[in-house]
Parts: sequence; structure tokens; C-alpha cells
Amino acid sequence: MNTHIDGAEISAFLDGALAAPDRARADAHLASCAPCARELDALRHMKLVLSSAPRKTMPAELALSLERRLVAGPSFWKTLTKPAFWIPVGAVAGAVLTVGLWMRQARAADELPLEPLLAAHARYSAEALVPEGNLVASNYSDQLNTIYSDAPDSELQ
Amino acid sequence: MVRKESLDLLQKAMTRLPTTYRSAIALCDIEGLSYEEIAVVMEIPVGTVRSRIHQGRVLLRKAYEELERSGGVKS
Repeated sequence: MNTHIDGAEISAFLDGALAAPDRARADAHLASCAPCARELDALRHMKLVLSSAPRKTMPAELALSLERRLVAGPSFWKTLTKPAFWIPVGAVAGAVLTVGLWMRQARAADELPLEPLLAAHARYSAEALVPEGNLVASNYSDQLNTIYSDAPDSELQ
Repeated sequence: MVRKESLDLLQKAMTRLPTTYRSAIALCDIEGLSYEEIAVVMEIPVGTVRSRIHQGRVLLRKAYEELERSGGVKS
């Protein structure tokens, strides 16, 4: 059975864009298939006519940019659309957001009204078993242990 | 030798193509770029370049034949 070549393949053959094995297969088919050979001739004629059109000179900057991009691979903008780029960026952004929210919350805590805190401190000082002078002592925990270890169990309940 | 009438008619037919097809064909047939170079310029995969050039040529031939039937460049 002589299956015809796909039109896109004939176009690619004409443009020299087929890989070697595909090119050899297409070449063999075109040598023996009149309809496909006619299609190739029609496309070739159109390409020939178009190639005689005045060619616009590619701006030097564009030519240089094209060469660089061909060497460098995918563009930065294309990279932006790939998950491999966004996964780490998203993780970093999430971490920054979390720290930012935590810092904002911490700052909000610093900004609590002072009066209720002073009132609570005064109340605690009045009710505490520890003398007020010792509240700022660095060995406050040791002193508390001393006081509570000396006190009878009934007083702690 | 390419006849000027054919070129004028084909250029006129080119203006009837959607931009994506016209650009692919112009870059390939007029500017002489490879499929890989066109892929970079248009920022599309090489496979898409191949299909656009083929589809563009199909449309171009159709537009060319219509123009030819309707009296050519003068219309």
C-alpha cells in the first residue's frame, strides 16, 4: 500500500527541516508517488516565487538577539511559565509572608496599651508572696522555690 | 525566472492570511530562517512552526487561486 505523505511533512521536506531518517523515507516515497511529487512541486514553486520578494534587512540588534537566544536556550519569559521556576519562588514568597505576618503580630503586641499592664503588675505585686523589691531580682525563681518549699501544703491549695 | 505578476499576486494573497501564518511563511520563505530560528523569534515550539507553515501554505495557495480567478492584482 502506498500511503501518501502528510502535507506538513512535504512542507518540512521542502524546507530541509526533516530529520535524516524521515527525509530518506519521504525522498523514497516522493520518487514513486506522482500526487505527492506534484504537491511538492506546487509548494516549491510558491516558495521560489516568495523567495524572490524583496528581503527586508533584519535589524542588527534583532539578529544579535536572535543569535544569543539560540545559543542561550529558552527566554526568561518562557522560564516564568514553568513550574520548576515557580515552586521555589512560591516557597520563598510563602516564607517571607509568614515572617512578615509574624513580625507584624509581634509589633502589634509591642503596641498594647501600657496602662492595663501597669495595673496588672501593681495588682500582682500587691497579691504576691514575694516582696516587691525581689520582683526584679535575677534569682526570682530560686526565691519563689524557697518560699513555696517552706510553706505548709495547706497554704498552697 | 519568476514572473512579476506571480510575485505580486502571491504577495497580495499573503495579506489575506492571518498574521501568525503570514509571519511564519515570511520568516521561512522570504527571510530564509530555519524552523528552529523561527521558533525562537515567534516564541513557539518547532512543531508549531512546522504546522503553521504548512497550514499557512494551504491557505496561501487557496487565496492565490481565488485572486487568480477573480482577475488578479488589479482587484
